[in-house]
Amino acid sequence: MKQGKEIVDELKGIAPEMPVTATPYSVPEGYFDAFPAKLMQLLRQEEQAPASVAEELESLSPFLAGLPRKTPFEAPAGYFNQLGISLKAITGAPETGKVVPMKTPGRVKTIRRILVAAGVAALLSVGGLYMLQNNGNMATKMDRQLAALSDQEIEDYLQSHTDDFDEEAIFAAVSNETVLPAELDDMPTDAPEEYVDENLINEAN
Amino acid sequence: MGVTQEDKELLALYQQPGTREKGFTLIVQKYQEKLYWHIRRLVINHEDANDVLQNVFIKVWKNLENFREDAQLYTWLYKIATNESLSYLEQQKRKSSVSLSDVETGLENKLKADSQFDANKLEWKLQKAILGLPEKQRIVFNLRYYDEMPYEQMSKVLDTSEGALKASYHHAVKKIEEFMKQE
Repeated sequence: MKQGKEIVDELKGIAPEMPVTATPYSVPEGYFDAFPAKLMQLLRQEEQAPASVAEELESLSPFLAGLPRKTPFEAPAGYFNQLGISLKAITGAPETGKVVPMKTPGRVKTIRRILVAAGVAALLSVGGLYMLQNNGNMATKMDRQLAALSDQEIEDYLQSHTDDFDEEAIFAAVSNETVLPAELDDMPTDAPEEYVDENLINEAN
Repeated sequence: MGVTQEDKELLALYQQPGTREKGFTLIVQKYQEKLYWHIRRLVINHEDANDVLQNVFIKVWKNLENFREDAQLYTWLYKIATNESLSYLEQQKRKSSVSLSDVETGLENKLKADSQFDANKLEWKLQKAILGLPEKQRIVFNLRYYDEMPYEQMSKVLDTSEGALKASYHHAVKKIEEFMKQE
């Protein structure tokens, strides 16, 4: 295809260095000669009334169209009449059920959330109380077991199972010693005896 | 500008029930090549162009009765051909669920798949450059460069002002020139 002078001049004005070329594509030989006839055939097909199933099959496969179209299978007698009842028995659902919306209303959702939160809180509280109670029970149980032991048994145990450090700690914990007042330091050593003697004599008298 | 005398005669034949097909066939014969090339430059591949051309004339057959003779048959046919080509490209884009750039790459692949393709030849380089243009510019360039369509008619085909079409063509030419220089 050759460009007209007007187009070439215009092109040179815009882009002087741009080459002017023809379309490089090609078409199959005789395409344009055959096109109108093919198009008319297509249009006639389009405008034809839609073929019946039998006509369509006849055009596609005369062999299949010649075969009987009867389905060879048979359904049990009365099957279609009882189908509704059988299905109802299997599913246990009424034939026409109430349509329940799948979407949960917002208020119900909020209430549900509150209930779940309350349940979790209650569970945690009960668990905590149970643990506390168990700890108290354990302490009481230990006291009772220790009380049942004799002093001798405890002494024997401590002698065979404690080291020096433990002994110091035990004595410090169980010591009944009281700190004497500072004025007793100057008291003569026989003074307590004299005091006891006098008082005992007095009491005896 | 209304229908040319020749087109009036063809339409008159079409409007008579006895010569309806003859009139239509003559219209097809007159415009098929111009429309084919317009479509082919947009869809690249012959098979695609053939499909689109058939669709165009089927639409013409169905709507020719409603054609108003105050418009040119030529511009009316080009309008249908342009819209059908764009719809076809859009359909391909949707089918492959790819972006526009991928469709353009697809068109470039079709270009390269052409049995006549020669990357060294100027005319094929020009086709590559045209494919790089935005869709509207591509159509404007093709209509002006190859079909030598006056801006006035192009304005009716594309429903765009003549000024905008001139600007579009100008941009397209500049881009193509730049591409050709780089190649």
